[in-house]
Amino acid sequence: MRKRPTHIIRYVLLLLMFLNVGLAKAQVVEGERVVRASLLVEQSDYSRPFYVGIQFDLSPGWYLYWINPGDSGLPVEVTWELPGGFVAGSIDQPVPEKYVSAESVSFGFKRELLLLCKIQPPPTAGGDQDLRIRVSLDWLVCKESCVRGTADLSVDLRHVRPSQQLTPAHIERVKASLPRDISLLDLAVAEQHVTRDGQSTTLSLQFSGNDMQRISDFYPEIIDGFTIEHTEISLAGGKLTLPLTAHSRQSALKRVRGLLIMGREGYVLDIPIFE
Amino acid sequence: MVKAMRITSILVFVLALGVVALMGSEPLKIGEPAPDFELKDLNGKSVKLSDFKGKYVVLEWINPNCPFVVRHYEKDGMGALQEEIAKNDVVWLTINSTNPSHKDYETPERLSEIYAKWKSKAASNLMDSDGAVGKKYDAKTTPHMYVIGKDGKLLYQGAIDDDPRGNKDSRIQYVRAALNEAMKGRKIVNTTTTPYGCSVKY
Repeated sequence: MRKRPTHIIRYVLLLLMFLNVGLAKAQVVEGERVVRASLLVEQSDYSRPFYVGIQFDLSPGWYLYWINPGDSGLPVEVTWELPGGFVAGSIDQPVPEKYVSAESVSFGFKRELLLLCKIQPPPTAGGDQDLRIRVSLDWLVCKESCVRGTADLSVDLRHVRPSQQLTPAHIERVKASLPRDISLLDLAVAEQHVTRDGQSTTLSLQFSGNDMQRISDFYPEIIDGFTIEHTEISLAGGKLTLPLTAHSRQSALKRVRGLLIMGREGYVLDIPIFE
Repeated sequence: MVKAMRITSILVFVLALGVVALMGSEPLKIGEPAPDFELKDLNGKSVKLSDFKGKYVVLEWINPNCPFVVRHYEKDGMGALQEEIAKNDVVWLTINSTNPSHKDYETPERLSEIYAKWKSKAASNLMDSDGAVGKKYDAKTTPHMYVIGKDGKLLYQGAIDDDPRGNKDSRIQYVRAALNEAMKGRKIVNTTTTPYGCSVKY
C-alpha cells in the first residue's frame, strides 16, 4: 500500500490553521500582494499592561493613510474586541510622510505601518476566561489606484506564537517614529489670529523661540466643522498660515492640533484657539 | 521707446499669467456663480453648464475605478438617488477628469458600458480629460459633489454624505438635504463639507 506523504499533509494543515485563526491577512490586487496585516502582542503575561501591535507591511509604492489623510483617502480604522475587563488605550500614530501633487496633499505611510496600543488587563484576568484579543481593521491602500481592505485578526494570550511576538526591536522602532512633545523645544506660540471672510477662515500662528526657524512644515489633524486647504498651508518667518473653509455659520474654531515638522521629526502642537 | 514699452507690457502680462498659474485653484465660494464650462458627453456632444440655467444642477466628479464610486453605484443606490432627484427637474451631470495617461482612465465607450451596468440615471456623463474643469472647481476627490441653484450660484460643495466607510445604519445625504432645503426656500445648513474618496487622477 502506498504511504501518503506526511509532510504535504502537515503543510496543508498548517496553511488551514493560518487561514482560520486570523494570524495575518494579505491583500492581493491583480496578482500582487500589496499589504499584509498582522496582530502582534508583547507578552502573554496578562497580569500587567502590555503592548499590542498592528503591523502593515506594504509592497513598494503602496501607502496607507494617516489620521488626517489629507485632501483624499481614508485613515486606518481599528475596532477592538477584548476579553472581559480588558481596556485598550489610544493608538500611537507615527509621524507620517507627506505626498504632494499640484492639486492635492496626502499624509501616509509607505513600506510599513506599525500601530501600538497599550492594553490594560483587569486584576482578575485569567481562570477559564477567553483570553483572545480580536481586532477588525478597515483601510484604504493606494498606489496609482486605490483599493479598500479589511481584516479580522486575533491572538490568544495563552497561545502566542513566535510569529505573533511584538519584540523590543519592534517597540523601539515605533517609539523612534512617534511624534515628540513640544516641551522639548524652545518654542512658543507668541500670537494667534483668526480672520473670517464669509466661509474662508484663516488661522495664523506666530511662533517665537530659538527653534522657530527649524519648523519646515505643519501636518494638521482634522478640524471639526472645517475643510483644511492643505495645498495653501504656508510657513514664513516663523509664521504658520492655515487656510480653512467653514462648513456652516455655526462652525467655531476652538482648537488646533497637528505636527510641527523639523527634519524627519514631528512635534505635537495642540492649542486652544480664541476667536 | 515704443518697442521697450511693448516688451515690458508683454513681460508683465506673462508674469501675471505665471502668478495666476502658480496660485493654483482656490475653493469656490458658496453663493457665487458656479463657473461655466463646456464639455463633451460620451457621444461627443457638447454640453454647457449654462444650458441648464433655470434648473438645479448636481455635479458629481467620478472615476469608475475608485472603490468609493463603485460602492455608491453598486451598493448604495446612486442610480436611485439620481432618478429620485430627476423627478424634481434637477439635472445630474457626472464629470470624469481622469488623465488619459493614468491607469484609471476609461474611454467614453467603456464608460458607457460601465454606467449602463450601474443603471446610472445621470442626465449626462461628461469627459474632462485635460482636467481643466476639475481644476476650475478645485475638485479633489471622486466623488466630489456640487449643487448649483437655478440662478447658477453655488449652493453646496463637498461630500455626498457623512459615511466614508459605507457602514452607517443611517447617513446624512448632503446633496439631497441641500436640494430639499433650497427647494423649500430654507437656508442650507451645511453648505460645505470635506469631500471623501480617491484623489482625482489629473
